[in-house]
Amino acid sequence: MNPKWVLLARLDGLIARLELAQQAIAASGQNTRLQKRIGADLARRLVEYTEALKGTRRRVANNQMSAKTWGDIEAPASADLLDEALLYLQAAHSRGPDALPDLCEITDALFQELGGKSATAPWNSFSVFSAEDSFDALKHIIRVRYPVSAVWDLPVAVHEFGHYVSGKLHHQRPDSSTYLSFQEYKGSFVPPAQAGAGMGNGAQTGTDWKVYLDEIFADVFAAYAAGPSFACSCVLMRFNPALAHSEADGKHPSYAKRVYLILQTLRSRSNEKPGRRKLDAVIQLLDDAWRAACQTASISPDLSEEDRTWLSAQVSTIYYMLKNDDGGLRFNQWETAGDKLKWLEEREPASPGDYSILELLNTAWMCRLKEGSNPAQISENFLKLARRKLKMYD
Amino acid sequence: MPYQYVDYPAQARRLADAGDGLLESITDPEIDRGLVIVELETASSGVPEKDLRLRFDPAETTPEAPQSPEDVLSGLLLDLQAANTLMAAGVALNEHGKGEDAQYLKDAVAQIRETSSEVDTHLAKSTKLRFASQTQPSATAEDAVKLFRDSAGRTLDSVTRGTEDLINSAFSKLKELDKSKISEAIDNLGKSFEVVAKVGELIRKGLQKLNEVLNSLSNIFGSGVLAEVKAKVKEVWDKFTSGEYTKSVVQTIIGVPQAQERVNRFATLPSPQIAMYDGVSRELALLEDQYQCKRKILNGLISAVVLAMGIVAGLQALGAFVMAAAAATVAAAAPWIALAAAGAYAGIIGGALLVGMNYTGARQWFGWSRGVCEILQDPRPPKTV
Repeated sequence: MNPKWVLLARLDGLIARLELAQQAIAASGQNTRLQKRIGADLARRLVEYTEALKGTRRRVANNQMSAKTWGDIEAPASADLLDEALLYLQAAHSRGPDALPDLCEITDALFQELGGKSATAPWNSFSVFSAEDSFDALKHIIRVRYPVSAVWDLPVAVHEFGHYVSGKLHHQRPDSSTYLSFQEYKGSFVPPAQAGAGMGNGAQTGTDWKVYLDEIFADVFAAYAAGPSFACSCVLMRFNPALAHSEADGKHPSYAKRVYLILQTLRSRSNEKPGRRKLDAVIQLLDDAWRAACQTASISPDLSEEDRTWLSAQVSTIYYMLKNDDGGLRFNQWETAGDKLKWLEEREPASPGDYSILELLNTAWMCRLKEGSNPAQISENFLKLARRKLKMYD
Repeated sequence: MPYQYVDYPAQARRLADAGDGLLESITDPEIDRGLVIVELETASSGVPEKDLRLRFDPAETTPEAPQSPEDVLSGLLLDLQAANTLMAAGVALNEHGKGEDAQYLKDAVAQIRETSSEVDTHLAKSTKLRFASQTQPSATAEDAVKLFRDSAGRTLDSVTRGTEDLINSAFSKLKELDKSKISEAIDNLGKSFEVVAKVGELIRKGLQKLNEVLNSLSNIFGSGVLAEVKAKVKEVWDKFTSGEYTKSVVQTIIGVPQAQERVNRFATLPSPQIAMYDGVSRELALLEDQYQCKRKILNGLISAVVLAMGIVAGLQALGAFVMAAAAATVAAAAPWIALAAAGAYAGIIGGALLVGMNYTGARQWFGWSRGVCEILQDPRPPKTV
């Protein structure tokens, strides 16, 4: 077995894998939105990469070998492409008949809306179901917790989009140089203990502060961009008061701190025009609901003054950063969302005018917070209107 | 990445926005003032102390790269403006209990907006200059020498006038102070003051910051050049008080005659090369532009010190707090103000002289600009970014 034989065998194996991935992509979800947005481009890149490897194979067959040839076989690009192909296939499957129809598509459209409003973070990727919500920073793919409980879970995905924005948000200096605003802030961040500020309530030694700060950014971003809908989904559907002060993983702020961060962000928004003071009622409602939930879990909802001061400063800094560097993403649709209550409450949604998925998410929560609301009806109507919006985006 | 001069406009704008937010909250009861104050305090946190601590000490005393003078000076300016905004905010909110007065806050915000806009415009202009394509080479060696002489003359003239203006501006403020305190303040350069305030939160934080900035300004030069700077400032002040202060005093101190002599020698080299003269002319034009940046910051510092002293004197007149000076045995508050103001102005005069000396090339410091003498000693093509 000479080196030429070994190289050819390995190249043949890799080419075969890449061709299988191409066939699988071609066979899945033809003419779907995902295929049009992502699949066609991925298939093209797979073909190009395979052809390049075939060129390498021809050279090896003609005894032209070098150290680079070995590198070509183990190149990260091939592993990344195959990973991406697998995620794509999972994403295509999650848009299939055995999953709640269109939810990943609607999630994608929600991200497209956000990307479209953003001056710094255009979006051209996709979401895929997973065991937990997360953001793949290398492949720019957002994993959404499976299964999605329709409209009530969707706003949480905006937190993951925040992780994407955190790596893109940038500021241009007067000398035309640019820097990544949040990454720069994170780089110069001094943990509270070293800065002389305590973090009393639930403070952990061994906290990974860079990741902790990422999570704070994502929460502030989500409340900034998705408005009260994100706060409602988190406070009313996700955060468990029994674990209000736990920071066991050393990476996420406790639920009590996250509630504070999210509501403080909404307070900042409610302090601004347009729509000054319009969010106060929903903020109060959520604060009361969280406090009451904590009481039933026999847990204090309160944070120490040190924690509140420190968290408020983080919100203030990140909020200003977002407003300054990506003002277009600020949520401005609470009042117009309120005009559309009937669209989601009535048995058949009215024939609507212009709307966004982000706006409808807030309308949905506004409807649900009303006495005697019908969550199933609201969710069904939301899906109908969101699908209609998908067609418009297509 | 530590604080840099190019970040000054953005950070100053945030501070001014926060100040404006507070002003708006005073007239609009719908605004949650608590949130506005959080933003003001956060925006005032300014430059990390370590970025001001390196000062102008030479590199071998610290493992980190030295901060450039414009980074340190603009960082001090930002902190001083933050101190002013905090104190003025406290007065606007009647923390001192003598009645709300928003005028200081309006002045502080206006001053920040003015300097940040000037620096912003200058940075944009400088970038254009640095990226500008090379002009056509001079047609003849005589043309190249003439261009060089013009460029060198303009640069030296600009540095001289700039230094003079800054010193005159500081002197006009110093004249208003008790003369006996000025000599004491010059002697106290490099020593610390201590402020004990019995006022509200914002005023207390503002005074604390002001105290830090005044100490930094007074101690800006680092031990390496402190004695020399003190001597130069004292020399200028003595000449000023004895009526012997003229333009030539400043020129001599910052080394204009030596630089001029170097220019004359360089202009009469035996075999003049067009490319070398053109390259040096361009480098000198960029040097002049760099100098303007430092001049703007130093001007901003003078205005900010004037405002700071106005606020402190105003608070003092209202009997809002007591102060003590640790370095000097000054018991009463009013002399402390004079001493602090004199110290700040003396620091700025020292800074102006040091920067002037650097640009003529009379003195060199690691990490600072190459001055006229250094450029002519070792001509090389200007750096493009």
